Amino acid sequence: MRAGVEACRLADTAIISKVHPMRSHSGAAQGGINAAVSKDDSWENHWFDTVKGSDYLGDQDACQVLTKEAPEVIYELEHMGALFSRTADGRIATRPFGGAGFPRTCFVADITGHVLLQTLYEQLVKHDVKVYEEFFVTDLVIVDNICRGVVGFDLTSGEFAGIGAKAVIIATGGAGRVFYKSTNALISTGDGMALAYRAGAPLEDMEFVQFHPTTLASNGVLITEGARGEGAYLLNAAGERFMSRYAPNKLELASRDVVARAEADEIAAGRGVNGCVLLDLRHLGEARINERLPQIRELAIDFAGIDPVHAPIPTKPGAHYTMGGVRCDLDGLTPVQGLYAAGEAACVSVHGANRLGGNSLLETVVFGRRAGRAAGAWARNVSMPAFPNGYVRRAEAQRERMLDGSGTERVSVLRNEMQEVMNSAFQIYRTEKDMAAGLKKIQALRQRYTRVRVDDKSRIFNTALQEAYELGFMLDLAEVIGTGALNRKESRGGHARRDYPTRDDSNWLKHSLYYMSADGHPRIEYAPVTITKFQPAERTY
Amino acid sequence: MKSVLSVQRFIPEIDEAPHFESYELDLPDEATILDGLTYIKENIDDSLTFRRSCRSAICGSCSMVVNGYSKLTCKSPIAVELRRGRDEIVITPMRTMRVIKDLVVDMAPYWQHFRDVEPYLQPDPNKVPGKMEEYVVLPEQLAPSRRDLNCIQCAVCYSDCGVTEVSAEFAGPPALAKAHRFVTDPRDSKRRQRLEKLVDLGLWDCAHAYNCMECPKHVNPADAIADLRRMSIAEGITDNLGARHSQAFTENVERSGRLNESALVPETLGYTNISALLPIAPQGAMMALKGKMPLPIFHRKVDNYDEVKKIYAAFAKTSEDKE
Amino acid sequence: MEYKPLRYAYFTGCVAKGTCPELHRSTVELCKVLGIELWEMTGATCCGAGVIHDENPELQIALNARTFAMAEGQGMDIVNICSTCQQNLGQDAKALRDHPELRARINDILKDSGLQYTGNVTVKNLLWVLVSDYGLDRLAAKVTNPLTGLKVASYYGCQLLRPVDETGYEDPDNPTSFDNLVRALGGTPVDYAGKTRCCGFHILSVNENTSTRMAVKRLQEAEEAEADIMVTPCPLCHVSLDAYQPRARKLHDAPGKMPVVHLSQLVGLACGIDPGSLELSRLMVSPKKALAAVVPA
Repeated sequence: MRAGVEACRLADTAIISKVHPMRSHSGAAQGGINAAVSKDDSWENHWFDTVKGSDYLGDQDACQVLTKEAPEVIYELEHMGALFSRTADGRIATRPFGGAGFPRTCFVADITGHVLLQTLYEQLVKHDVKVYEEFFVTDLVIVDNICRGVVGFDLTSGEFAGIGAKAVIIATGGAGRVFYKSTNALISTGDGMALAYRAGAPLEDMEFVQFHPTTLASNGVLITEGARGEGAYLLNAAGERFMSRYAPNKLELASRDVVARAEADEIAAGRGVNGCVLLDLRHLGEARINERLPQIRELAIDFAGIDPVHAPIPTKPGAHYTMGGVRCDLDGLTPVQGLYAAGEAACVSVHGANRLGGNSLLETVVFGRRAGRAAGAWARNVSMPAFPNGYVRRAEAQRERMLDGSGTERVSVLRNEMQEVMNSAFQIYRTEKDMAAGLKKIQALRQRYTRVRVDDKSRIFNTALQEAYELGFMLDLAEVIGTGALNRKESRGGHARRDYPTRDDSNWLKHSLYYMSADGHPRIEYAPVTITKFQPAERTY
Repeated sequence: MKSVLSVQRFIPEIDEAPHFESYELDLPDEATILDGLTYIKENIDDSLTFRRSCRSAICGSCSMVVNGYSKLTCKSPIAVELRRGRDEIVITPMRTMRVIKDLVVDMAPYWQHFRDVEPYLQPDPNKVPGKMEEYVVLPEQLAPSRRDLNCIQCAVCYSDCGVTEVSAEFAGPPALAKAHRFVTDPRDSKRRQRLEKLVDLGLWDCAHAYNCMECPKHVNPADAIADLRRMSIAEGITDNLGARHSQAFTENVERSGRLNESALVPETLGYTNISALLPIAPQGAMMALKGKMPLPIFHRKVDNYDEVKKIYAAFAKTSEDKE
Repeated sequence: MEYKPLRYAYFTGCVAKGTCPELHRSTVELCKVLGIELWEMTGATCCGAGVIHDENPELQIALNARTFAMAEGQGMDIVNICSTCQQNLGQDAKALRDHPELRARINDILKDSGLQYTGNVTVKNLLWVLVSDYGLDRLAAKVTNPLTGLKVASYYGCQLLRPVDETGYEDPDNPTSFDNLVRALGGTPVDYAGKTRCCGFHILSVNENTSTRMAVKRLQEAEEAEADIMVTPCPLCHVSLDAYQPRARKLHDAPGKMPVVHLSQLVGLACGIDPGSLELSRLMVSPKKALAAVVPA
């Protein structure tokens, strides 16, 4: 939406979304958005924290753009109407967050993403931007390395249509649902990433998946890092703040991958409580919890039966964020002409091997704005590319095949199996043996997917069909993640291997790129990391 | 935990009318209604269609009517419904909005009401701060809109509201709560215009059914509506039936301590408003015949009425002070 | 069995003294028979009905604080016979109880009249008094004229149930008190779609069309469930559903007749009070036919 709001100033713009924009998963972001707004802080500090947080895989020019433009985009959001929480003298307040040298996370209680989503949707309404709501894109149309638009179907009517465009910005979010027990919504199936990949655009650094340290055991729902930012402790079964052993300086506010691994180690060593560690907010007091963290209190009560005012919340790491995505430059431009990407679906790369909390919302706004501007400017300067014949017919035929009853494989069965494999072989700690076996299983699932069946034969609002398409996207991405993880023989950021436990800059300080080859499997290439100011160093918290 | 879900089905290409299908389930104790529906879709009938996304009561997608009450199904435990002693848990789509398929409704009218309240900040262009500066907004200035911010547009209140059920023109609790968020935003410059417009959008059509006070996100729009009414009267936007009724009521009670009902109607409509009074005159006559129309002249003051006068006087004084 | 004597400050509300005098009369007669002592609050003002609240919330609170102070002076809790009174008195009592600064501010105003309120009065609707304080077993023992065979649509309406944070009496999504009371009287409660939905009274003078449309729906829902009669604990609902029934039906082309009686009338009937004392004839839609089997000829 940030891209749309920007682009609509320059060119005729439409937003295409498979759900109503207000249902987007950005609304679930809780803790905040980073920016060096404080007089005692500097964007350069934020820049360094981001690069270090990325375990030195982030492109430093991209990180510079992210952090330098951060204060401006925050004020812009505020001018649009976002109601940030305030200091006593009426300025935008900030709270501490993981991996940050200074409290620079701007927030709205613990519903930051929700409020920013509302604000941007309100801007869409204000500027009367066209929205193709509940329109499911099945194909990106790329011919001769030029993006021509998209093909998809309207969920309500079931009608297929091609939508031609001079520029397409992919902002479809992450792919957390390839894993079992994820913080992500059920719609986070990586659609845009898979569409770009299939259409010839490269994906980057897909092996890097962030496991958020504090998710509810029952359903994987997120409990914001903001809780730790407000002072919550992580305890093991012995009541010990175990982070003191893993990150003696930052403790609970170390970088997320460090905390997630620490938790996994504690639980594996038998110091967990029913497979969890305990997030203790009790010492914050009811008043502060109600003011700063009211939503997570409700989440804990509703979904774990625990009131954090009185008892610690059992939490464990869960798949949360896809650092990788569609490779693009500082303006969101991919190697395909007219194709852009922004947000979690993109890989600029600002997060490298691990993302700092609060930088994700920031990325969507900074790079959403840039992509919107770039795409809009591009659209003003070119004529409409020809939309090729046959794409819509082909897409319709594909649907008919999926509905013709000849398939034998059920969507939910394949999906569960995929998620189990990803969970066991590609979680926090990875090994060659498990990954190789896991990758084989994923490839077998992709094969079985060609015989997928959907029993709901209706054309009107067929969500079973939608889930079948989404499964196809996820399987492709699962194979890329698995291939990448197996291939990268080092540990860095969110990619931790027991067999290669250290970071290997001499061999692996590079980005992995994934192209879909003719046989449908990923082909790997590499690209250098842009290092400008900060020499890679040992990363401790 | 065993349960039976009776779900309203309607697939427009094959069904002439909606009908119910029952599903017998055996799920973990903490399973929610959404879990139940998901289980049915994945294991029994993949054509069962419903909206859902975050399954953690944040996105607002999964609202449906459960045993007659609209709910966010992802945070509605089946066990709670079972404890209410029903054999079957009946699940139907949200009210008021046209059913597209099964439990999916057409929310276009809902979003139109949302747009009608101009739900975006309209600052004074001369007062916008510089590019690298925020508006100064004190924490206490955020308090009035704090609960409005919680709204996830799930439409549960809209679906249960007694007024939206019969009136397509009524903006509904969610749109009014959204309007309240902007009316109370110190950076917005259109407060009066917004309040004026809200009168036409149904500010005075809320009937205090308070279904919206069961909001799953504690937005509690009825409070926002009452606050908007108070502000509307304070701004002098009183040339409408609702405000006149409110003012007439308050003054009527002041005169004797107890409401003089017979007098209230002409006081609201205007004693000389023949075109409004004439149509309801027969109703008044019928009630009078049954002894249900107490004559104004027999209306007595309450005991110790002077105490009542003192209270009114105290508030008249404070409002004078404010001016 | 020894029962605690029940005494209440009786808050009549405005409508029971105006448009629905039968409600006041039947309440007094019923409490006499049941042995509930009522001290009528002839000095109490209107509860504000949420309408004064819309204009000036603290003015409404102050008026009600005076009423509470009067009851407190008698050492009694308050019983009311109207859902809107319950909602507004209850809400304001809670505000005064929970917020000492508000209470201090209001007491400052009441000082002039020699009144002070310490925040300890509880407000209860007659339905709750009968079901909880009096008790359904005790009530059943007083039934001399059981409502056998009478299919009763108990109309809970809105303001006795919601918001549950204020009312706190029973589950608004599954209320049972009223239906249990009907059973205790020997009647058959009927489950119907409209039992906790709004009658529209509060917008009757502001938007008659919408208001009467809501009322018609409630009547039709009871008809669909084949109720013989509706009963309500609220005179405002009663005006909407009974006094305005003929007009509402005409406005929306919905012919039919559904008698609607007050809670106190129905209980009174079951406890052997004659229809004359209950002023059943004052109802716009006659319940005579529906109650034929119950009312002795």
